Amino acid sequence: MGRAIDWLLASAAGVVLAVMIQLNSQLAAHSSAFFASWIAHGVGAVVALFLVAAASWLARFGRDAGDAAGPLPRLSAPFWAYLGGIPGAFTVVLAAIAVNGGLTLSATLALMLVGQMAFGMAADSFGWFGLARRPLAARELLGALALLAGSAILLLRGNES
Amino acid sequence: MTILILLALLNGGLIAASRSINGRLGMSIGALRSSFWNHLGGLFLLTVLLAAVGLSDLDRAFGAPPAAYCGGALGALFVAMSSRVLPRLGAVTTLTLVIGGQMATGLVIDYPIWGMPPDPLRIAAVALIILGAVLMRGASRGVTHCNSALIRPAGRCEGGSIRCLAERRDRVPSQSDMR
Repeated sequence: MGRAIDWLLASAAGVVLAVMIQLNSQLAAHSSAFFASWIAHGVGAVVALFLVAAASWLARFGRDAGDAAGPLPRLSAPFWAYLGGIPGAFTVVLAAIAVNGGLTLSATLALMLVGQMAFGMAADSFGWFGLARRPLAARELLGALALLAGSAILLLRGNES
Repeated sequence: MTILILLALLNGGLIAASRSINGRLGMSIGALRSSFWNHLGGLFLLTVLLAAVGLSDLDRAFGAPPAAYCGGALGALFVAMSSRVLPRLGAVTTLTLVIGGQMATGLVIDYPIWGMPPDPLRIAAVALIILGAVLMRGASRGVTHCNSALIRPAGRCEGGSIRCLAERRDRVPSQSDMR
């Protein structure tokens, strides 16, 4: 039963992501991509703060919430680990430009996935982030093809309208 | 349109980079706090950029529907949801469900907005995408919220290295799901 809830939660997370990009892009259409990103990060910071407080509060009652895979004890973070917001700021900007530029939300999401996977593949091949270098399996190349094919369909379908 | 395609692809790389960096922070202070610092850092950078460039047409922004201002909240919410689910379901299941939910929603939203009904061909495209992601699951770092479970490499763990600490910490039943 708990499993089912986790499955729902994971699917809902995907829904949340797509809706987020749509909403941010909508705001960008009414103002500018950078303004939308600024608002999104401001609102997000406040909500994140609230969630941290809520999780701490719930933890006091022994309830596990949100940070299930919690922090590692006595593991300090290097300074660069705090810089995720720098590329992050531009993710809202670029997504808004693509969606508002006429690429549909579906095609934009698909292409972003391709980019994410390409990054992962490169990280594996070259051993970034302290990862063990790992040659790519045929299965993964096949997966890349499927991913590209699906993205192409969504893109080309989009052009017909 | 080619430019837009390139921008979207580049965006994917930026997203993965951002999530990997946040994931490293999350290993130290937890995913939710990491998300806060991520948003704060971006806010700071954007404040500087906007102050330098200047804001024109600001009154246009007030014409946006209130819902359009809520995107940021969803971003923080996503981190909370995925970080809860990832250790319980494992990387592959989480990846599949998140991507499935994401692409299905894209199809649904594109219907009224772009007049594109989710016909069999587009649904097949989404199925291909999900299949492709699952086949590439080893490269899925930075797709779902990246916590250490995705950064963790395969191979032996040595002593007090970060990988080792992560492996010991993440010893939950769903580990067998991961590559």
